Amino acid sequence: MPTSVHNKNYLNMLLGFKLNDTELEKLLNGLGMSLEKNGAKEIEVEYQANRPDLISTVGLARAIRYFTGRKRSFNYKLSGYSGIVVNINDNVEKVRPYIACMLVKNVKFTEDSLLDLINSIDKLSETFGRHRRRIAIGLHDAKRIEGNISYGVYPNEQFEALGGETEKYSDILENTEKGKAYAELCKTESGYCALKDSKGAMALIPVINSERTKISESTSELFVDVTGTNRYAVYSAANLLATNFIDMGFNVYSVSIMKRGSKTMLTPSLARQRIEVKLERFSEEIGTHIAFNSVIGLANKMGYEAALRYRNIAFNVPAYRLDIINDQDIIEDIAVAYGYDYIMPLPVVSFQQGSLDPHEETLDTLRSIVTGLGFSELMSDYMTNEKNNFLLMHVSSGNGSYIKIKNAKANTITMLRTWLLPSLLNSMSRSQHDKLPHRLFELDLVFSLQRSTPIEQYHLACAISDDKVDLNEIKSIMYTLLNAVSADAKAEIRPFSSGAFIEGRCGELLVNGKRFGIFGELSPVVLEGFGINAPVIALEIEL
Amino acid sequence: MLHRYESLLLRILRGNGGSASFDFILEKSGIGKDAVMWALESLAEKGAISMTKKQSVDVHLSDEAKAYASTGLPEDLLLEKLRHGPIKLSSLNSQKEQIGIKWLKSKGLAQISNGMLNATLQGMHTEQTAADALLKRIAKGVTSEQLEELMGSSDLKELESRHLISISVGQQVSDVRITKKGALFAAEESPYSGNEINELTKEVIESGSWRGKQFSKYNLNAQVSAAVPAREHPLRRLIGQLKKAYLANGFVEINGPIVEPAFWVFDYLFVPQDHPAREVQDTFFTETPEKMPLPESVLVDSVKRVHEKNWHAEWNEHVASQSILRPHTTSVTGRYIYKVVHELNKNPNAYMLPLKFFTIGRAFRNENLDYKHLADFYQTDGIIIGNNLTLAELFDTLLKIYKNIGIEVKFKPSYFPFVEPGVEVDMRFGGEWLEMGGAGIIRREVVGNTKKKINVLAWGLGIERILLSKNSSIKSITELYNSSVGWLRENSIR
Repeated sequence: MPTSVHNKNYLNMLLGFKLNDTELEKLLNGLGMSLEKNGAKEIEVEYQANRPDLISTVGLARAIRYFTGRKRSFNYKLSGYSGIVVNINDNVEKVRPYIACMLVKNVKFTEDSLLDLINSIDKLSETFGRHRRRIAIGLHDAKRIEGNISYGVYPNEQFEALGGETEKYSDILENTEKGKAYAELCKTESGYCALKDSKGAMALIPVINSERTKISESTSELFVDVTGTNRYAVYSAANLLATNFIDMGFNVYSVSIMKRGSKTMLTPSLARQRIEVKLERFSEEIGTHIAFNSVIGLANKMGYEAALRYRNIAFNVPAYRLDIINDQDIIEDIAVAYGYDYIMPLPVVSFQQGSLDPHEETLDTLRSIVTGLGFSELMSDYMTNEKNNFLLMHVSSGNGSYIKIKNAKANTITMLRTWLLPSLLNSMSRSQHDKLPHRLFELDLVFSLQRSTPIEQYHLACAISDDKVDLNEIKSIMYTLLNAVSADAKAEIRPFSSGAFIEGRCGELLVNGKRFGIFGELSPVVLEGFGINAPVIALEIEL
Repeated sequence: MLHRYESLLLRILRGNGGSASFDFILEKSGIGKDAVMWALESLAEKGAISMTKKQSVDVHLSDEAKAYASTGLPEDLLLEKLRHGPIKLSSLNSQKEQIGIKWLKSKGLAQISNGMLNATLQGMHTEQTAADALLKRIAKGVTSEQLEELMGSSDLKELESRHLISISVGQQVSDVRITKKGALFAAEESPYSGNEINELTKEVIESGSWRGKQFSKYNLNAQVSAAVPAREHPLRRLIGQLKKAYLANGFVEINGPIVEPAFWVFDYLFVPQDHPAREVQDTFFTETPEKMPLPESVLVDSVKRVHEKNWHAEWNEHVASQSILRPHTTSVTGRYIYKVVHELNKNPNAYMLPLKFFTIGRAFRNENLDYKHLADFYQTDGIIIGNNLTLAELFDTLLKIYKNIGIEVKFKPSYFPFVEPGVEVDMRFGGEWLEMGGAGIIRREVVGNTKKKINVLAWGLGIERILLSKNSSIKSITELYNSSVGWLRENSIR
């Protein structure tokens, strides 16, 4: 789960009361969060990925104030309409079609509050914003903006980026760290995504703001833009930010978004979703009877305004809650507020008999038979590489009909194994100081492709390494296993040629004409490749 | 009155002119070292032979030790760097550096302050640790006598406790000769003589010739080497115990594919297509096959509708058909949820609810591999499909299953896209609580609209950590896979 860092002084200031460490930890756990680190000045809190409203210290303080009953007002209001109009150019439609803006007045930053704001919008754009693709946020000093604002795709122009020199859009994307990271989201065939006023670009979106409109601790009016590829995410992130500004004591004014051929939108809306839940649903899902007035009390603790309506409880979902889809999410919040620790376990009434997968049972029986023959079970990775699976075994990869892995971080992983013997030899090669004999087996899945359909099949492989080995021993074990699998099968042995085994010392056991398995004495070339210095006899059968 | 082996050895000695080296006897006899040792001691006791016995000490270096012998112990390497100034702790991440820190601290050669590792005064004046010097000396080769002198030294004990070296003490026998008395014995070839039976054979029993005779007494203190056991893998045994716990609670085992289209792993489970878990950093995608067929279009269409309505973004069939290695076993239980609910919708009497299923199998995550992280690991998923099932019933079920295998669990709120309410399941590990995985009630967006308020309790939990809590000799989950023969022998006994 993700974490965010909070300044303790700022948190206490926002809370309006001081929390000691034990109380803080208890509260966080009650809210479904946990205290990861507790330093002298800062704490690191783990929050759930679906709650971006808990990234900022302002949001965390709000949740705690509701939870402890200190905050009882649920209605966040805009101070009015700013009179600002933002025009959307048609040419962003295919790149980054959505924008929401707001004007924030009466802004008074402290060092702590400005830092929290900047850190939290960065994190919001990375996580909820999916690395700025879904949404990204820009903050500007509103007093530096002149004339009309427009959002669109524009040709390559000169631009003085925040903390940088005046250079072309293309240079910023090619030469700066942020430019390189987000270039793909900004650049299109016809130009660059940008927000402009009458003096030029305010931001290269979603990369960097202009030096001209940069904000500081002394900024008194903010202009905020949220842009992105997902309409819902853009509007709801704007609502989340507006709520935070109001909680910081600022006044938020809406901005009008104009687009040719569409209805003019006013953002943010702060509109609350209303969800009604049948009273009995709480007990039905949680398993503990909760009276309606307790539900309302618990709802208030989680920041909902709630009221009884006939046999339902009506919840007003605050606009900053981006995770609430429907009644199920509300029931969870009520369960969290109630406390999982207070839910009394109740047995499930059921008359079902337990049973094992019969195939798995057969495999376990075989495993115990092989163990009884003096073999220790090895469990190894399903994932391997061509070197181990083919090259070191001196067998060809055939027509490449195996499952290749595209994107492993570890370069030792490139495919799923097609047989088990390499795993056994690998283990033996790591056991060169363990007393002989080595007797190992593995019974597990191997993989192949048949007409581009993955085939998952169980194999059993046994291997013996000792000062001296006797091919007849492995052959007799092969017959024992055949007997265990199908008692009266007609078996026949044919010589088999494989690079892994010594020529003339490898056989294929056929049952009713179908291959049951192979056995043989491993070629010294193979042993040398694995670094094994004693002879090895082995078998591998297909189950 | 001589045992078969005793007669054999006397014959060998006689054939070699009355005396021989131990190795010669061992080779000629064709019997095991323990058997030869036993027979020699027995003969010596009877006064048939004389021999020189002395204690022999042997040392064996682990692979790790061999590497250190050429590079130096981790603490020596680290100390060398520290002499140039303190090092930030956060930059010392490798396993080797961690080992180095631990030993420097315990030897008083370095200390930690303000997140920095500093050499102490003693550390600044230590050119080489005694353990490092000793390891290098041993690696060059030491005789049995030299080792005997070193026995009991704290440096040697340290190397042993770090599993870098292992010391074995045995008996060495040389200069074996037949005595005059022995020369007389050697003439006797009979398995038994007079009233004393040496070896009780099938023939002796069948003929009844043992009646009224005495059995010669064996030397019970002769040295033997330990027998090597072959037993179940500890992880396999744990899986078996967990299966029994599920059985005891009335669960039916199910299984499903490892290689799946993303559809069953993510889309069916209401994981949005731009969810971070679906990125290449987390999930293994396969190149062959690149895509896999999607299930029937009725299901695909309904999943598309549900995603587009609730995640406010276009749902793409191409993304859902990407072939991946399952990152959890919830894809197995998910397929059953669909199957059962689908059939119940057609025929409400198709099953008697509640139904309980479980699966145990491998899952895969694209990790940076180190001693703590596996890319291959086991997971278990369970579901209960019933009417109006509650969190209280979910908690009860998990408490019972895990109590059955001796594990205490507790629950706290958590988030997973396909459950609501979401639960994190933690297990007690000594004095701490460790996360085992997630649980909850499957969302309606997955189960679909059903009659009779059908809902599903579900969980997906890791397995390897349970083994660590139950078996303190297993230090890291990575030991469980691709183990050496020695590890399997040691750890399967406990």
